[in-house]
Amino acid sequence: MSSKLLYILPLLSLALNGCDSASRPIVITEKRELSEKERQLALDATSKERFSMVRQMMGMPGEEDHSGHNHAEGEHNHDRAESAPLAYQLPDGWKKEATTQFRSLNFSFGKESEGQCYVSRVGGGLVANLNRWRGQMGLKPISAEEIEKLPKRLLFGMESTYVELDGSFKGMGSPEAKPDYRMVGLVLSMPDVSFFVKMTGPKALLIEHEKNFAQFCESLKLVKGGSNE
Amino acid sequence: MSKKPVTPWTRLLKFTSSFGLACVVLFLFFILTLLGTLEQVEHGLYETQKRYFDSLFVWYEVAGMDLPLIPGVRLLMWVLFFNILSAAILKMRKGWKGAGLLIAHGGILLLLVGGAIGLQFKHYGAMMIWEGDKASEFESYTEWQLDIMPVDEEGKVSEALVIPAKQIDRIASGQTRVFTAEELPFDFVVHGREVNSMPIPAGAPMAASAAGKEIDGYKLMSMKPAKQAEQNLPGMYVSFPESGKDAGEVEAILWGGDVAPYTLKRDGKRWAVKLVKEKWKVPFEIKLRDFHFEYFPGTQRARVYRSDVTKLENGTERDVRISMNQPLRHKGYTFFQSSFGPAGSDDKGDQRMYTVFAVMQNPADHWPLASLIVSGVGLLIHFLIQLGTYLKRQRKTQAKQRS
Repeated sequence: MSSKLLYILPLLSLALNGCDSASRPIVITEKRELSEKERQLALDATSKERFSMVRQMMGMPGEEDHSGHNHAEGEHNHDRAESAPLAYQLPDGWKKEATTQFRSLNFSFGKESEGQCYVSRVGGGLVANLNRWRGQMGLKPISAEEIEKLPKRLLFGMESTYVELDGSFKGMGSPEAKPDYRMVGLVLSMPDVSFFVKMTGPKALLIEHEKNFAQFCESLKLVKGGSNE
Repeated sequence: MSKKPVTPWTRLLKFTSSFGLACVVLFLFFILTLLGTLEQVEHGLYETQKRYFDSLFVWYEVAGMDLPLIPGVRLLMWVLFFNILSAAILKMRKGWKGAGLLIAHGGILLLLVGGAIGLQFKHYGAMMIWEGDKASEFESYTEWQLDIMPVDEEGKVSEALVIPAKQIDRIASGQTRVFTAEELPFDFVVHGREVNSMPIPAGAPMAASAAGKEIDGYKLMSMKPAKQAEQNLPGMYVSFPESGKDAGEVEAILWGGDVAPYTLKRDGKRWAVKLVKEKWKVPFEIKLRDFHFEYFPGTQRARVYRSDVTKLENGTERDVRISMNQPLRHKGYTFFQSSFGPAGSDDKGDQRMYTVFAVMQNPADHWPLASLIVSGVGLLIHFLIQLGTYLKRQRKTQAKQRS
């Protein structure tokens, strides 16, 4: 075999690999036959109907399903009412607690489980919720303009408002406020609902778990459907 | 006596077939494996594999420019292939005494070629089947294709024109691509593709930061690619201008998570357009007769799970059990028991279940084994030849000493 061929072949391969037809229209040549299941399509759906999963994932008020698509048995196997499936990585030292009416995910940490972190969906806007939290910490409410200036971080890949509040914490149903507490929260605000991750506990303990909170929020994902992997 | 002139080709051949080059390539394999292992912690396995192992070069941003600073594993595999091939042709001992080493090297070349074939032609995905149903295709975990389906007069669809995943993958964010087909009275224009995205109601606060146009009350928001690439839901803005005309304004948002296609009307005819996971047909059918699983007592961890299936092919049926360590292998396809659902089911066996198989199709599936055998045989032959030569030399020496 000519030794020169040893060099022409890889150069040809590189050239072909690098070829890009970005500027020219690409002709579609591939066709396929649809399976029986794929032929059951809901035609003429509106954007609201087509993107209904966004609303389900966010726990937003749903709509009557006119799609004719059988959601009960098919690829969308998650509970549409309350518990949009969430995937996450449990940080070291955090213990999973039972979910409640308002807490989709619920965790505790610390020697006496005095630190708490939970994920929740509530109605009401960003301003109302953040000022409610400030009230819980014995702090005065702030304006929408001041809330707008708060730092931003990502939750579910979307820009969310981050708060860090120090004060005396009086939770719902608590008889008295607990001094020297910290509250950290990340709020994703949608038109009809807010999605948030909230952490409360003694200030020193929360400083220790600051990194865990950031890692937990980063790992939190909304997942389509539900299966046992 | 005049010396043979050293041409540039000769110098290049000497370099290509050198042992030093092989050492450098192997060292670079080690470096890339190390870098890839560290990077996948942050960016996930799929993206790291694409960046370091499936590429010709690994690109890094330096002073605002993307530069190919290190060769990728794909390029190194080519270099190693030609290194071994040229060394075998030029440097290997000719004659029967070099046969063993030649065969052993042939085994290594077989491994590299098998790797290249796998890279080019391998398909890996999932097949989900409910009890009582059958399936004959599986879909990719991570790659997406675009289906454009003509709707007939009865409002039914039966086939699709496909823009394959390879072409979708090449469209970067903000890049426009035009697709045409004889069957289409319009061009299909993609105005940028987002690897991971979500359509946001235009009234949401974060919609203000989404760069795209509002369509039908929604804007497409770009999201950070998930570490697990299977969770990415791609999105794109598209338009359908008259064939050969300008790309025009965007008309629709396509999203991987939508539950229904976008329906386009043109000249009294309808077309349904949808992003779907890349699909491959299997040349036979699998029917799930029964799925069985058990939890470890007192836990929600599956202790055992298995699928009793029937393979249907050319009018014949064969019952097979697929379980955690017992895949089904047939015609180059391997079906592994991967997972099941619905989530939260109990193990009493009174609900309708579905099974999920991880399906692998690799024409070079057994080439690593063949390569191992060939290399092993080559080394054995070489050892026997060396042993024979040594024994012969020993006998000669002893005979000399006696005489």
